[in-house]
Amino acid sequence: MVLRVNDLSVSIANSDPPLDIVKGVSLEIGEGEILGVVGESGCGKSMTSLAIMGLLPKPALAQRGGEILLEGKDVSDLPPYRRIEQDCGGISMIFQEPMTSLNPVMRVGEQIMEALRVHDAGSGRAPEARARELLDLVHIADAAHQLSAYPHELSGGMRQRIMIAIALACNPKVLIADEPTTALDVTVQAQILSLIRELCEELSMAVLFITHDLGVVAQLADRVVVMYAGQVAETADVDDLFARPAHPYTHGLFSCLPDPENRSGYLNPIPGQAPLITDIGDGCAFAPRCRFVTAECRSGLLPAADIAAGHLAMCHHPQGSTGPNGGSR
Amino acid sequence: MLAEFVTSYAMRRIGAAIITMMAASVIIFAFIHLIPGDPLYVLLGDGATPDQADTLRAKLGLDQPIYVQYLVWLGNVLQGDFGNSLFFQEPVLTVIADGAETSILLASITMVWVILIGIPIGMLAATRPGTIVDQSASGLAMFFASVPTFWVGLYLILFFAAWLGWLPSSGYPSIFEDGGFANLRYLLLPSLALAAPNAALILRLTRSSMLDVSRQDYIRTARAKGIRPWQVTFRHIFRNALLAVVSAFGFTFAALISEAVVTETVFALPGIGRLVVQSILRRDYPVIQGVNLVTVILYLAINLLVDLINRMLDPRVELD
Amino acid sequence: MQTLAAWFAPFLKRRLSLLGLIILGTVILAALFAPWITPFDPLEIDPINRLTPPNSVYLFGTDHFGRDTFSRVVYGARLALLIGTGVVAFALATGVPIGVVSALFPRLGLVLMRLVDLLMAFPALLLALGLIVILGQGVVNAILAIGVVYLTTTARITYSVALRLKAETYVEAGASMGGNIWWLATRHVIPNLVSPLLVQASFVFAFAQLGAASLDFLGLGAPPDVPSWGNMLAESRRFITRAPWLLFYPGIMIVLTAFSLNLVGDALRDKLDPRFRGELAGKG
Repeated sequence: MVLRVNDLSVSIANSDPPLDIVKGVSLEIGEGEILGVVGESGCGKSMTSLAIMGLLPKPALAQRGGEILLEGKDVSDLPPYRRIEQDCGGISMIFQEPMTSLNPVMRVGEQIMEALRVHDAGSGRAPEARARELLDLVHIADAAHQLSAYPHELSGGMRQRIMIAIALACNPKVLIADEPTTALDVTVQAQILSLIRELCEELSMAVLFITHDLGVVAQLADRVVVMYAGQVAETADVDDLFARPAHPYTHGLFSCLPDPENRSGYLNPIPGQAPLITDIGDGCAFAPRCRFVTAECRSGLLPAADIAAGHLAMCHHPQGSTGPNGGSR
Repeated sequence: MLAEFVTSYAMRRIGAAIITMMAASVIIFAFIHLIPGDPLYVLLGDGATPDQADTLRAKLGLDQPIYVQYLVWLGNVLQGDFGNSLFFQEPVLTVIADGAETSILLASITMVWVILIGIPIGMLAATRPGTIVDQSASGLAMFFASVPTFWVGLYLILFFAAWLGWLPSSGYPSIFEDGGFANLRYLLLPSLALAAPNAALILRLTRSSMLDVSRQDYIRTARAKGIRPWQVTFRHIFRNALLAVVSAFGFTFAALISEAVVTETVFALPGIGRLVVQSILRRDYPVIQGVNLVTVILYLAINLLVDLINRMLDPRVELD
Repeated sequence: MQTLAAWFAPFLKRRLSLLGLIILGTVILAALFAPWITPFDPLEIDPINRLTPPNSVYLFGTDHFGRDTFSRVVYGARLALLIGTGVVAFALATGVPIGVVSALFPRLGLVLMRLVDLLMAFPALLLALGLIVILGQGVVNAILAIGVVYLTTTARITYSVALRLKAETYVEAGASMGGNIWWLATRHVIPNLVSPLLVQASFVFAFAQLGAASLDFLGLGAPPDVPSWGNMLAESRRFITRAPWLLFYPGIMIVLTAFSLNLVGDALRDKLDPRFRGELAGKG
């Protein structure tokens, strides 16, 4: 396992009792694997990734408990620039908004080379040559010319590729991609996704791919973690998840999807709304909206119910029924 | 590519500045006519002989329609003839030029203080927001932003000139005369007094600009690259924050011009500021008019320069 | 009562702004109750007691004419507040209509704003001095002169905020419902201007203090016999080594008043919708 997160919590700093935005999250990614983290907006998936990187907005938020193991070594106490260094295994991140994620007054090539120099890419012409290689890797044509461009001269898709190139500069073992395609057109989205898949295979890179789009997860991910309100709801291989969603929330997510065969029926939303962090009590965060809730759901630890090999649901009442890939609901 | 945009954008800005200058010249011209009394005696003083009156009347075309007078005046101005000082009986431009050295040196030294004090401390405060360092820096800055320069000046005189005797309290012999560059010490106290509120403003602006920039997405990207925090601060946050600070220099310069008037009076410096005040008290209107003209030209020029520098620093230029 | 408490909340949260409010309040109260709290007539000359250091009788000492500094400082507060109010009132009364009209009638607005820009081509004090030369000295003229300077910034801010508001979807919606220009102005634009203008007013009030003090110090503002802080400082110049209290008290009053106004302005600005921070960031 290249990256393993154990029982990670992120809370609002100095809050007592602690207000957790992310609570007890555990996940793991192996080499060359793509892990999709899916959940609605505000479920804590971005915060989890920021915590893994060490980029939580200080002083507002802080990691509270748990381990972040990068190639077996806990990096929780290290500042970001130490986590990224080679001996730790290298971890990089790309973000959601390519339009605002690049320094507007610095040439794009310079921004890539800055990342290269951190990882001792040599001096003289070596960084520039390496930068050109990176641009080739992310399929940017006319590399030499684009290196001297400023971000505002490039399209959103191009900027996202530059971001990926920057992220690859440190030869990361793990790449975290936080909704990198959400702000892009659908066609560009497809290109970026296939690029990520390609890089993952070529470089044997582990990818933590965050999204709220189940379709993207189905296409890209090998394994999936479903999050709700700061907690992990379910973990599974992608095929397994779509075939047998066990957690009532996951089940509800799939039920929401419009059925192209059944145009005249009503949509099935999950009743209620996601809770505010202050309203999440002990136990399962989904309890207020769950059809199968019982008293034991509202307090104490949640069991990790084994549905199948590698398929866990954090629930007292995992559902056995089939999902979108498996026939009737 | 650089030359191109400098020319086209610069041309437009210079053109705009010239137009503003022309419009301002109308106001400055009108100034004489707005003063109660016959413009002729406003310009000549009460002790004018009929001959002098006639000469001036002909030269300025004072019996012509007002727009002709303006054109005549403008023509004279463009040839460097701003009229004569009533008090000195010399060309206004000469009188102003005499004071130029003092004022320019004073302004330059003050700007050095402002930049050396305001920007680094502002940066320091921005990198440690909410801490004691930040709160005291911000508090002090806000305090000094509220202080009249002449009060600071008087206190500096009290401490350093009167009580300690380290520095002179008034006057300024030119650096081109005996004493050479050592004479600059006459400008030390005045420049500090002038610098106080302006450094405070630049400090606060640097701080707030850097805090704004540090909240941007691209700073998060920079941190994610694994570069050291100080590199993030200087190469990314400061570079971008600088844009806002540089823009403020134009405004700072205007404030300097204004405040220099009072500071030069406090320290009895033979500069253009003190010249203005004395001319007002002496009713030496041609000089007042001339100083206004020169100052506005200078102010517009500085603003233009700052604007162009800003455009050069920020590649997101509107190319035309 | 609830809204009153909510209004004061940003001040309580930050000790500095609370301090500002307290100082300002003290100055205002002192000015209002001047006749009752001053032990001496500010104009009363008493040559026997000239240049006395501060003691129990003369709290802030006396000046070269034997006049009680404390009493003069308190009456100076009256003048300072009067000038500040006058300048703010003038700047608002002229600047706001210019800004609003310019935003609502774009073609006229272009011309008006060019004129405002023209006025802004003159550095503040020079503009004020020029007006003083034309109008003559005096308190009212000082108010007008400084007022014209800040009319420009007020007009600019009003214009940019009004433009921003005009582009807001809800205003467009209102216009599409058939509202005419006056309705737009009074119901939508002007009420939303109150907050940013309130902030602007505090800063203008602060700058007016410094401007008036400078004019007085140069002898071009209030007449010499009037007890203004600037005048007092001008008179103190000859005696600063012998009587440093004459330098301290009027000066510190100017600073405290401007300082507290700046603090209040900052607190108001932080409380406001951050949309307007861009326009307001320039001044202070």
